[in-house]
Amino acid sequence: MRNPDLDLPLETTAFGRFLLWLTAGLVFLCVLAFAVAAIADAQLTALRQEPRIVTVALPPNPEPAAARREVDDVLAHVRALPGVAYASLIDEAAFGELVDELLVDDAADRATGGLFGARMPLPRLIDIAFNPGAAIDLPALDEDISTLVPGATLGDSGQIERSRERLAVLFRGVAGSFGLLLLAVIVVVVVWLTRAGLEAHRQTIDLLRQMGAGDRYLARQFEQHALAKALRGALLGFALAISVVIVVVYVPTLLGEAPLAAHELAPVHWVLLAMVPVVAALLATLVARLTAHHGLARLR
Amino acid sequence: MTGAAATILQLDGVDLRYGDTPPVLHGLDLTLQAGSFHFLSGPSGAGKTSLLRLISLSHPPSRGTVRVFGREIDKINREELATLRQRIGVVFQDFRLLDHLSAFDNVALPLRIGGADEEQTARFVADMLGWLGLGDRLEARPAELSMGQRQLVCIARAVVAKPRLLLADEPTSNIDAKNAERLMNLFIQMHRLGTAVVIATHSAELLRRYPYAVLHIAQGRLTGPRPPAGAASSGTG
Repeated sequence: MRNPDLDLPLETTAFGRFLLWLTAGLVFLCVLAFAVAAIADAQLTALRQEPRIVTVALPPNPEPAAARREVDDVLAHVRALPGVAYASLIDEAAFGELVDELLVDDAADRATGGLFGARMPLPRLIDIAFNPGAAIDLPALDEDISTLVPGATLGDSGQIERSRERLAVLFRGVAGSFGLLLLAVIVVVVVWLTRAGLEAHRQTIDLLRQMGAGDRYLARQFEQHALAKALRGALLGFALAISVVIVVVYVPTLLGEAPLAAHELAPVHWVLLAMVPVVAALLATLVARLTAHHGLARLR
Repeated sequence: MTGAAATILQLDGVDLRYGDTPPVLHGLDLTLQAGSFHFLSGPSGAGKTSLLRLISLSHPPSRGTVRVFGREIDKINREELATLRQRIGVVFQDFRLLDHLSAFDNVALPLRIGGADEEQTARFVADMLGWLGLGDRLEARPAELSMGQRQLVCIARAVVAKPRLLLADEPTSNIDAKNAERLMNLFIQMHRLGTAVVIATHSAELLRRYPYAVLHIAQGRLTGPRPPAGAASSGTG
């Protein structure tokens, strides 16, 4: 027999009419923002798990025995350093072919030997891979190697990775902040709608008070309504946003194309995204309750 | 009623004013005992509705002291005030039914506010509306009811929670003589069961037919109660 309507006809005011759709829209944007932050976080984690590569370039040495000794000395030195995963000489023939491909335009010239075939002196390259997170003193390494082999130089390809890391941190921060801002907007919207609801139903509130309804009873009306509306709106917004995330992250991969987002999200990211609608709905409910309580205390 | 009956309402030197306007009630002194029955009469604009608003704790006094069920209302908090109001039933002249609720849910409001369980609520409300001849209109919204039916729903809402103080503002003005008599019998029955009843009315017929004490109000000042001659009045003032 219990009518599903609440004692306060909140459905007829802005509180009832707009709360669902505003929550849906805000949660949609919020989930997208947090998804971008999650993708950036996944990217950052992947970058930080990659070994950092430093390349040593030894100047050409026409004396093969001396040249081999220089390489061995450098390899022995760097392999003894803490945090070095591996160090190896780049195959000279493969390096020569690579240089030919980059610098010799004519295919016929490449066929006759190219620069490498013409015995153009090329530096010898040694890749040094450091474990993720290893502390690296590059100036000291540069100095050691220069001492071992005068004229040797150190190239740090990690500069690019560090730029990507900084970019990922920036994206994560901005997107996460935007997500939090949207949650704050939900708070503001619920406060505004609740106040409007209190004002619109003042006569009914007076009547219910006359029958003995206390502030707790009346605030619960707003709270229940907010929970029902905000939860439905939040789930709707979440479903739409997750559809977008799945399309961006997974569908291109399934179709054999380059994914728009380079890294798949970890389970913890999905859990955090799934919590957004729950948090939004609970936040809306709590704010509606507190605002109603505060407003009722001011309504004599 | 006996002299030992509990005092449920006491007004001492009470004024009531709305905002900055002159007082609409002046220096009221009134005591109502449990189980008393009073008519409140007076010309239009004399202050009957304002007095009912004051007694029903809808409006605080501008001056003086109001004690209800032994509690001075200036000295209680909001939750206690709400609890006291649950013991007061009010029949409004303009009904004040909630348009979005059915007749059943309108009548159920005081019970639900008071925390009654749904089974008990369903039984009480259905019995009450059935007794008032609205058993087949439980799910009707106020807009689907006649004026008389709305008034009956309003009265049912006021009495369903068995209040200790019942205030009715012109409760028989929109209903036929037969229903008016049934309602008066209901009010009398409640009064006999210990509810203090105050009925504001213009109806000389009502005052003539039912021999209870009359509180007369004119220009915001109260006179009485005045027991009708030869009648068994109850309650004191």
